[in-house]
Amino acid sequence: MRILIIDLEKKEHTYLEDESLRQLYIGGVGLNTALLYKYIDRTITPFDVRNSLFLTSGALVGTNIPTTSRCEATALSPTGYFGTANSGGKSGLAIKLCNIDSIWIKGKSENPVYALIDEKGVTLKDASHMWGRDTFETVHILKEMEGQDAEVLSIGQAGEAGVQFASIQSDYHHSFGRTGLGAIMGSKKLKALCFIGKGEIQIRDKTLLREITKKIRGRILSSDSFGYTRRYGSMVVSDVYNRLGILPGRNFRQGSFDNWEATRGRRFFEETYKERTLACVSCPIGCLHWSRVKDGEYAGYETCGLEVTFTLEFGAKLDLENIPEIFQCVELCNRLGMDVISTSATIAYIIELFEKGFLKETDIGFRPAFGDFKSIYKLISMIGRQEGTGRLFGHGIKHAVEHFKGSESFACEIKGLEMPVRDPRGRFDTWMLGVLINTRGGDHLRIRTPVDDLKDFERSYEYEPLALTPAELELIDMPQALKDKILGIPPSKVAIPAMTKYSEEYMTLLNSFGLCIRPPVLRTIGPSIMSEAFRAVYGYEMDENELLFAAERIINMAHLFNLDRGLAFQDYHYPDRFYKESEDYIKGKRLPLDHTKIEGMLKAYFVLRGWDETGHIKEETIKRLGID
Amino acid sequence: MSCILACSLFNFNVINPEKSFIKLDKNEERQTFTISVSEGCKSCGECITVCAYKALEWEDENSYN
Repeated sequence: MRILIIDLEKKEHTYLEDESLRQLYIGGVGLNTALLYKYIDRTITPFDVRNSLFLTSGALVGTNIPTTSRCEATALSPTGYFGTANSGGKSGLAIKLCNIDSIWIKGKSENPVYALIDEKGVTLKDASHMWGRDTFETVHILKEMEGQDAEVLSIGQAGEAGVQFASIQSDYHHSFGRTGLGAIMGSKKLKALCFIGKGEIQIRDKTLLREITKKIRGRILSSDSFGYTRRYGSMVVSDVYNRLGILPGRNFRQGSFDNWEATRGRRFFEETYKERTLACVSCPIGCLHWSRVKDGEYAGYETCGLEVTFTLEFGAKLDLENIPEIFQCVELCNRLGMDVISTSATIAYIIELFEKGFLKETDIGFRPAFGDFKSIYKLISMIGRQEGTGRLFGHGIKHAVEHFKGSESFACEIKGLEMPVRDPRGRFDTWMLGVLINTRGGDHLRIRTPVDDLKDFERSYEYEPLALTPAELELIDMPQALKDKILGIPPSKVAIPAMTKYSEEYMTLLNSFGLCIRPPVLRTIGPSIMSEAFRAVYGYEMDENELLFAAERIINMAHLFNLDRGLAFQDYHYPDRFYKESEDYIKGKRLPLDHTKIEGMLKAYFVLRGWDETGHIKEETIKRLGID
Repeated sequence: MSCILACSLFNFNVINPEKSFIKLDKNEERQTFTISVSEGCKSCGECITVCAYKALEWEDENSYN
């Protein structure tokens, strides 16, 4: 692997070349984790000059293997723990075309700079004139200066101001959203990375690559979920979330809305706003949309979207009914360079603080309310620009709680990261245990099962039902021994702790190879197919179990990093709201979670990982995985 | 961009958009593009095979549209 090291302090760059890293860490999140684990001092604060930012393309990016566009960014997060985020779009390919796999950004610049990168190296250029500009303006300026084909990763005002959930934006419409990596870039005075490489990617066996590409494409296009995903994108699940009562409505107090499908449902969105389908590099699914508002106050407005996350966050968590208003909020977040989930969660917390009397109108300057676009839009701006009350909330909910003693139960964060999109009381499954276990904190995207479905069932904590048909189950690429162990013989139900462990390893492989995590992929591409692709592109022979072993090592390295940072068993905790309050939804009430039973599932997962009951890794496990 | 990647790989044995016979003129902000096929195209059809959006199709038996 070829890693470009940029030292912002010394204003120089070097290359680190080590092909042995490929089979150990694959690429993407795998390599980033290894570099963070090996080179980042555990005792520093996140904005210390010794923190680094790692950006690595997935191992299969640049090929035509379907959905291989993804790129991973990683650093010690402003949360204090392992920080990592993933993006589609073209940034992964742009890195590869600079004849590198990865970029390691060290040190801090004295003045604002951007890094112009191509296959010959790096030039650090003055970015003073861009500092203070939003990401759309920055991308526009850099494309004017460096060419329209340049791929730009940039931060907005939120990253410059050190907002702890600032994002890195990829061109106009893609984001490395979670864990505040934009703030790390901002602390380094690095406004943007601009890629103009015209290099090339070598392929070991192009005939085999053609075969494997055709095979994967066939599997994805024949998946049951393909047609729906092409049509609705991620919005495909919007209606069913409402019916299940798993929406995070009004800061996780309302699991459904009576008018949801008529105002924020998938068909309403698709028929009213969608103009055409868009896709990332090498993706045949095309889950993205270009949308246009046809009438009303925002008539003529066009944008990329809607994603279901935007709908669940601004539409449910903050109860904005009108899709054009959701579009406006998302664009403002993207321009300021701020994660949509953490921003919505923080504003939901502010509004509930106001409702309960912790904050007064005189503190804020106006009366914030759920469903009120103007106050919500104003709060986004105040947080992103760190103005007025916004300053109290720029360090995330976990820190804000220190100012508002007694608000802990509705401060919706886990391990310092604001909670996303789904209420665990509505459906406690592998995905929801995964939110507690996730190495990056309160997040839903690192543990998703290949057999996930959205049928309702009576909560058991230990199991969720298996609703797939035998044909669908057959198509899932997962080692047979694990299918037998986790789903039973014959397959009947899903053992949640064991599926959580497998799903975490599986997702780590997807994020290392640069594959997408949409259902048409989850249902069709697994470790054995990744193994074939690895052989075609690099010539390496690693079977599915060897790949899963590599993923296990990567996960344990991230966890060791978090343990060194002080992670403790009590941090695996939903806010008290979820253990003490019921949640209303269309069909009645969802009861609070049982704390003891969830602890039991956590411990069962720890045992499967070879950790002790407090979550510390046993010496024998570290030895078995060969971690130094 | 699948067409570009496939074109360079199967005609030049390497993935390199610069070498592809297919070029895209893009507007990133509005997410639009136009495709052009340059001289030298050997009508191998790899680009059509990999495109899932029917952006390219055979014009007659020897050339693309």
